Amino acid sequence: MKDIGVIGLLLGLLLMVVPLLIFAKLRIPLVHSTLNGLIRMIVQLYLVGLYLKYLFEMDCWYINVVWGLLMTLVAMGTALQRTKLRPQTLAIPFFAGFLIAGMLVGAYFLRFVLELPNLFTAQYFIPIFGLLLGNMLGVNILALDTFLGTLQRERNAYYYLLGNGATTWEASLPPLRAAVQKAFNPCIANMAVMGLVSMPGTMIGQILGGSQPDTAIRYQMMIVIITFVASILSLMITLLMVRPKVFDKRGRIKEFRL
Amino acid sequence: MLEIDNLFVSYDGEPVVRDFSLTVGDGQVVCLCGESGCGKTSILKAVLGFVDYEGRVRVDGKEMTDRNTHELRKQMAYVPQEFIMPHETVKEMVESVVELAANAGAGFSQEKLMVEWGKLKLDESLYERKTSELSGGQRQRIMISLVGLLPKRLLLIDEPTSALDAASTRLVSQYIRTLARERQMSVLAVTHSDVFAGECDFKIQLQK
Repeated sequence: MKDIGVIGLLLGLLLMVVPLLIFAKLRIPLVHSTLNGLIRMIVQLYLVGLYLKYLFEMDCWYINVVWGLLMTLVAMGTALQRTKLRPQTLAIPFFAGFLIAGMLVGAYFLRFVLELPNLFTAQYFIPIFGLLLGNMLGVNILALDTFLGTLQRERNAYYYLLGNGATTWEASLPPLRAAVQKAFNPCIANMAVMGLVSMPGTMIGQILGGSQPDTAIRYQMMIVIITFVASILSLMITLLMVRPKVFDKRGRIKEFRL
Repeated sequence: MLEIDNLFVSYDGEPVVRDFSLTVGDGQVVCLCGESGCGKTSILKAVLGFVDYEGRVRVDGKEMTDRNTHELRKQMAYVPQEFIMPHETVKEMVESVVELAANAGAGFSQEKLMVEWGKLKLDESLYERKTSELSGGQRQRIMISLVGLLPKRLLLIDEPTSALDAASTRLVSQYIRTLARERQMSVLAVTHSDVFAGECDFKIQLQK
């Protein structure tokens, strides 16, 4: 695979002058945040590259597991920051949903699809687990925000069903359905046009790395499937665990907003 | 039968219901009347277990506790003051109630629903219509018609005729009274309507 040298990297970064000039010219207040995001990305990716190098060299299963737990904690923290909900409501449900779904689906993929003898091999475990976390994060945030927001907005409909004999689960199904649809419609649409409208990232990375296209395609398919499955699984786990924090013993909606 | 003993309801330390007691027998229709803020809806909400309260609420002799609230609600029908339904169509709105596990035994069919709609002068064509296209009065009557399909012991109804004219109010109040008699169902209603109150067995005037 052709490496990118320092000069090449700098020339590539130079491209960012184009959007920055456009933002500046049109007085769109995005110059500072773009520069901030760019610098953070460069620093963070370099740090990621450094510690991944060490992790791959050590390839110690318990360190990889600890790393996985740390990644899950960071994902949980990010999810809590992005939702306007009390941490005590969602911290453990998010953590549990990410960890259980990520481990189950990741283990299935590594063991049965890739047929790896050691599930915690750094080269596979860390990038796959990281990929799953990233996707679960986005879906969970959108779905939880939508579910809880719809529940608050449509509380009259919720109490109407409750007052006519619904259990808490039954009465909360309409906002739940709306949340899952909103979160998964983009994933499904993306799946449907994959390869037609855009070339997916995993496939490109693999081809650039020297893999044959048919290998890259198979990896890409599997990545889409495991991220989809892990996302819905993590969402269900999170929702099941969030329920006692959102509803009291009489099914009344508790206060859960910041 | 509904029994309410020494009910106290307060919000943020401000009492809205003080030492309220009432018994609604089987087949009786009792309405609560009074100015806004006198606690009428709070009494309904306490019976439904939607608000905290002091005192006792018993449905057919069983006192409501945290443990049995869901079980007791299975015997209740609740028609709130008119609200915007999130459902797309009337059909979806009806199904959301009749398909609940607690109501599955009623054996819902569209034919049975249309019989109730006939009594409430609702047109059959409304069934496939979008809920947003209906008037407030139509939405209220649809919610009331569902009570006719479900074998409940207690009906709690909040301003059932707020969006209806006098003739429709009389129709609805007679429908509810007939249901109460036939099913030996206790009915507790909140109303500002003298026409509706006139059809009730007892009218209780609350004061702030």
